[in-house]
Amino acid sequence: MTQFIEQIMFALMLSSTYALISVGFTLFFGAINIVHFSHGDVAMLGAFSGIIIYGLFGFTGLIGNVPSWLVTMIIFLATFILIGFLGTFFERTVIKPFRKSPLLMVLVTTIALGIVIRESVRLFYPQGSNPQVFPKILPQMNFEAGNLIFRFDHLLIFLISILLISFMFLFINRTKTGLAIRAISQDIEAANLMGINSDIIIAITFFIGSILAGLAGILIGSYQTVVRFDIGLMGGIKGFSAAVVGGLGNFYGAIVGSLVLGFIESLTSAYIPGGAPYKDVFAFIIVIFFLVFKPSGILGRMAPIKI
Amino acid sequence: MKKFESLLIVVLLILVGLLFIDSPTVFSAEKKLVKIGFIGPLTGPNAAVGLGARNGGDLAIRQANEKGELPYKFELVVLDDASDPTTGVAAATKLCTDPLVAAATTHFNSPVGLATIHVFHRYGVPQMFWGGIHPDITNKYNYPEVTRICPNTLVEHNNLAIFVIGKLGYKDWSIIYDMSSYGKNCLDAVKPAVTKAGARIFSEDGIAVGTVDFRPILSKIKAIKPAPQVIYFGGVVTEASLIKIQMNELGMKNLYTGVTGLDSETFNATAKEAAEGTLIIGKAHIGESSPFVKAYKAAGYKEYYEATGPYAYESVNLIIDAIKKVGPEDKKKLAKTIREMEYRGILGITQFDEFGQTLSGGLTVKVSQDKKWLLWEDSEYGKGKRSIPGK
Repeated sequence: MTQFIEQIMFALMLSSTYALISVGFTLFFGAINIVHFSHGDVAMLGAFSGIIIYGLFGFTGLIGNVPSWLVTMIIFLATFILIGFLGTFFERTVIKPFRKSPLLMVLVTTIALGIVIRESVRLFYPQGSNPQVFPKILPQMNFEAGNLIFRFDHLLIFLISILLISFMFLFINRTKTGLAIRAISQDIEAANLMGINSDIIIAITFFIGSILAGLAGILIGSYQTVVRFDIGLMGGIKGFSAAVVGGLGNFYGAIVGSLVLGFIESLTSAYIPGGAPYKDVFAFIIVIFFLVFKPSGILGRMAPIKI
Repeated sequence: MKKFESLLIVVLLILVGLLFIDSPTVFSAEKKLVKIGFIGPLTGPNAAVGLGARNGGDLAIRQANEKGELPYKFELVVLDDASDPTTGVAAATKLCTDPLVAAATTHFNSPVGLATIHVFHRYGVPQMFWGGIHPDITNKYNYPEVTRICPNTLVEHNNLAIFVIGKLGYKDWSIIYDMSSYGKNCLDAVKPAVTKAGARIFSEDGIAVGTVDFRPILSKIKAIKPAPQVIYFGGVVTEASLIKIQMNELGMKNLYTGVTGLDSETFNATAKEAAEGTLIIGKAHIGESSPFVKAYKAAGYKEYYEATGPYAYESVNLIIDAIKKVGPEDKKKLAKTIREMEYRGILGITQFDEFGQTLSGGLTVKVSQDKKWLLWEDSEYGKGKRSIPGK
């Protein structure tokens, strides 16, 4: 029983890390009809920004003198701003020039952008090919119930993930800017005629989406304890797959898809003898299954014929 | 005409000079030249370890020539295999066809070694490995010419079983291994080693290299009743340290163990406090104050001696010691002598088993104490001040 509860907890944690990424894919696809394939790498940049800012604190000797919650807040805030603007910069330089081109062009440029981001970190970060230890920025407490250990930092990661995703949802559905984003996704020219400045709205979408990725990077780093330059590749593919399984462009779908992937991976590792090395194989078989038999995903209404 | 004569004289002089240079007997008339071959990766991705090994071998040659006890002048013939089997075979053939080469010390990469053993066997030239850990190098064909002075995975795991099962008495094991060829080699070595020593294996889980979330597997092991005392990991540092971090998260108090794949300070740097009490079979320990390191530094080599330098040094010394006994001419006799030697050097006592594999190779027992690998006997665990987890 203890084991079963533990397995469910791990599956939920894994799912929440996938959901953070897949909601970003959903935002970009649902709002402006593009698949941003370097989204996972932007998340990786968020994790590295966390390490670097924490390192700066250590370098200036502020750690120990400043309360640790403040350090954590500053890391979140600085990453928020840094990655938000970086994401907008990527949109301006790499994605905007292809706004009127076929979707395939954006697909290729975002894949290329992902490679550039990964390789830059590998080359320019000191010993960038090696795994980097992610600092313990969340409180390391735990409480035990019999044989079960509940970790406070895991609980926080889970809660912050839910909070971030809910904010995103409310922003898109309840604010005027959110309405503008949705208007652009339906018909960009009509939206322009209604007085919406599509350039600014798209920039805002990228700002928000990249913030989400950056913070996801910090949370994933905290959960996995080490990060490497290439975590964004698999993370991105998993997040995208989760979005596809749930129904690309649908918020609830992204969450449901992440749960499906997270549970399949965790439970194959735990309950199928010798299944651990093949957990990704099982997960992607499910993805292929959905693409073949229900391309619209679990909750999606229209088939994503555009990609 | 005069010009032509003087030119002729110059040419003749040069020719005579060349003759002198080519024939070492002129300079040390009483000493016969004996060549010892060295092949290793001097270029390519493994160049650092290759150069360290070459310097180690070169140091042994220099010392032997300085001592001058033997009626031979030794020379190290250095060739590059670039970690590539084809280049390695070409280098091996070049060595074997030189009649002055008495024996050779070779290779860091097992695939290169698996290709060149046949060449050395065909020419009957003794070949000793200073690197390359694949068991098949010695065990598959068991060529009389081939020996290995560095430990292979079988030797490492036998030593692990002797210590953890024989000395500490931990008999209940769970095994995790990565699916790389190294991880599978470890699995193939650990199972017979620990079962022979009387252990029971409770579980066996493979993981893909690059996995970061081991919690599902660990939770499964945690649920096994009775609980295994030992969790063994066959793989390398990154995954190894993550497993230990997550074991601590889950409150698992098993002894965590492995072999030389974990022997890097990166393990401690990554796992931090969680590393405490991990016990491994580590590589040979060559201290800063050892005569080898002092001589190496005094010789002024540009490159660091790496983990491989001491093995190549020991290997050349052992070959020279064998030549001292039976001379360099009869290579069959030399190969036989090498296999039967009981050599005392910087790696302790080197003796070969029936396959030409060293029985110890200077392996050490190390334990992680305060985020550092310490030799068991120097640690507070070894002295009984702290106790190893798992009981």
